[in-house]
Amino acid sequence: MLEIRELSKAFGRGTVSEVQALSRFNLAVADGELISIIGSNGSGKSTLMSCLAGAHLPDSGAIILNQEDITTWPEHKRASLISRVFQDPLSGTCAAMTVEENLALAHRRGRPRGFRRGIAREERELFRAALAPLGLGLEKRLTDQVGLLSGGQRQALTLIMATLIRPALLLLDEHTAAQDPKTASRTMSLTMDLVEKNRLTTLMITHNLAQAIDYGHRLVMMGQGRVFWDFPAEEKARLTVKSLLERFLEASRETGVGLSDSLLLA
Amino acid sequence: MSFYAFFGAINQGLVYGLMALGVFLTFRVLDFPDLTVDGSLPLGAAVSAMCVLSGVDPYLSLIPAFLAGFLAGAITGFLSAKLGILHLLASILTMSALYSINLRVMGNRPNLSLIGQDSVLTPLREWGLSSTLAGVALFLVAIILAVAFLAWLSRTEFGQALQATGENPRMITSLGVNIKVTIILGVGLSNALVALTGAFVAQSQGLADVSLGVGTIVVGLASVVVGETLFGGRRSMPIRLVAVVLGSIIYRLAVALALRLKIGSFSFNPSDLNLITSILVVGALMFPRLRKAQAASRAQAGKMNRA
Ligand SMILES: Nc1ncnc2c1ncn2[C@@H]1O[C@H](COP(=O)(O)OP(=O)(O)OP(=O)(O)O)[C@@H](O)[C@H]1O
Ligand SMILES: [Mg+2]
Repeated sequence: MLEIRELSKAFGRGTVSEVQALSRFNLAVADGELISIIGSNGSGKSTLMSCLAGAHLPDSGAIILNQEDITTWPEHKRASLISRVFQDPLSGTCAAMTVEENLALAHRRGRPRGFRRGIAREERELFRAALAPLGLGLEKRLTDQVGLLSGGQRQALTLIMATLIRPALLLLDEHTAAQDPKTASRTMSLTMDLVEKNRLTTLMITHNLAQAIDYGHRLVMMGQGRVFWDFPAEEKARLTVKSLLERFLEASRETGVGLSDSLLLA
Repeated sequence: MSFYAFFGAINQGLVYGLMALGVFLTFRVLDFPDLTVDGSLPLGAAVSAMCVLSGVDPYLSLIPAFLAGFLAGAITGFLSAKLGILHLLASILTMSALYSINLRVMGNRPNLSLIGQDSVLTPLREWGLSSTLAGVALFLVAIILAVAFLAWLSRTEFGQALQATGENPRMITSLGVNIKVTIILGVGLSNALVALTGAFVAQSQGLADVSLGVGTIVVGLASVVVGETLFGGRRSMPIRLVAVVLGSIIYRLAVALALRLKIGSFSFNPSDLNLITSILVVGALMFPRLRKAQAASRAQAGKMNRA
């Protein structure tokens, strides 16, 4: 169970370029629930994830995960509970290290690093089994340097890394954005499998309205750092891309934010 | 080149290879440009010399030298990672402070003579080896141990986290590693190796001097880039470590040759070394960029031809 209470975060406070990225944001996420989050560029989606993961400390508000107040925990400590796929496909992996080395780093998420072997022999089997469902053939490339993979492949690898150890909260920031349509839909169904199988509490940001409607248990639209619409499962089921786009335009008009090209195309 | 000069260069290349491994650790693995080494080399020399002069076994004196270097590096890491001072500036601050500290360690003397004292080379010399060859033998063993240790470390969980800290701090933080800790330990280990070099140099030369460390960082960088240029950059860690050591040896051989060079009435003298080394490093650092620029201009020309 994740509870986000009155979370606020401003950048550049006191300067001309001050931005209120999150403004008294409230959301409660049940265990095993996947919420799709949409919203125009700059509406604070990534900032929300950074605050949850601990990369940014919020100005005010509270984050309660499984009854524990983690608002001020440092990022590396939160890693034992939270895993994350970054919006930038290159941010989640180490290019100079191999596929298996990256996976091994993720397999030790939240554990102290000692002087045992960085990759245990028996881990490789586990890694291959985890990579195979992606259908990208990465399970045959364990010893390739990650820098040799494409952006979409690296993003897929990051998803596997994020779920290798079950997180209490999974954060996905446009985790299929760098992938072609076929790979993206495959990654999405794998995401849903992983979420269902492990009952992962998940926040998923996407700019793909159809994806937001088709997948997940709830749909949240953000605007100006707040929840603008929150569609529960039954309402979400009745949404169409067209009706959602209308709501989106409405939200953009009210919040005075322009609409992104990526959304119009979606 | 004479037999003597050749083995002298090998000797230097091996002992300073330890220092180059330390520089490799900060510059290449941690992506942390660290100038502390100019201070931690004489620190190791001073600590070891003081120990030997007060009757400590020369081999045992390596331990406090190693630890002192570790501490110096850890302070630089602390200034940067915990206090948020820019890494380069943090290392300059420690280096500058070490100048005063090194003088203190040596009892406010600018140098200490170890002539007539036992050294790490004494047992080997008792077997009849010249001091140069004794140095070659001892430092060869030391460098093999250091390379083996670092190669082993690079495969441990900690070593993997260290590499990721240098390459993608954001990612490794999100995987639960406190990069402040890895930076402090990594820069510490680097300077421990450098201080160990200082201890070996002081004992084999019979002299510890506060100015021993001037230009250390440039020589270390020269060894790293020479090794990478000759043996290629993107390879497995053990090969990269060996390349650094070979880079250090080749650098010393090149210097020995340069010093014997005579062009008309002009010749280099040892004090020109820092200048030559700096030029060498600039050249080696520019080399990959030049190659890239060349490839780019070729591609550009290709495009124009097609158009
Ligand atoms: N580190 C930062 N420093 C200053 N301003 C920032 C920073 N990060 C985000 N912002 C600002 O905060 C606002 C929200 O940014 P955020 O990245 O959360 O948007 P987003 O909803 O993820 O957008 P997108 O859909 O483009 O990814 C933007 O106006 C952005 O300029
Ligand atoms: Mg974003």
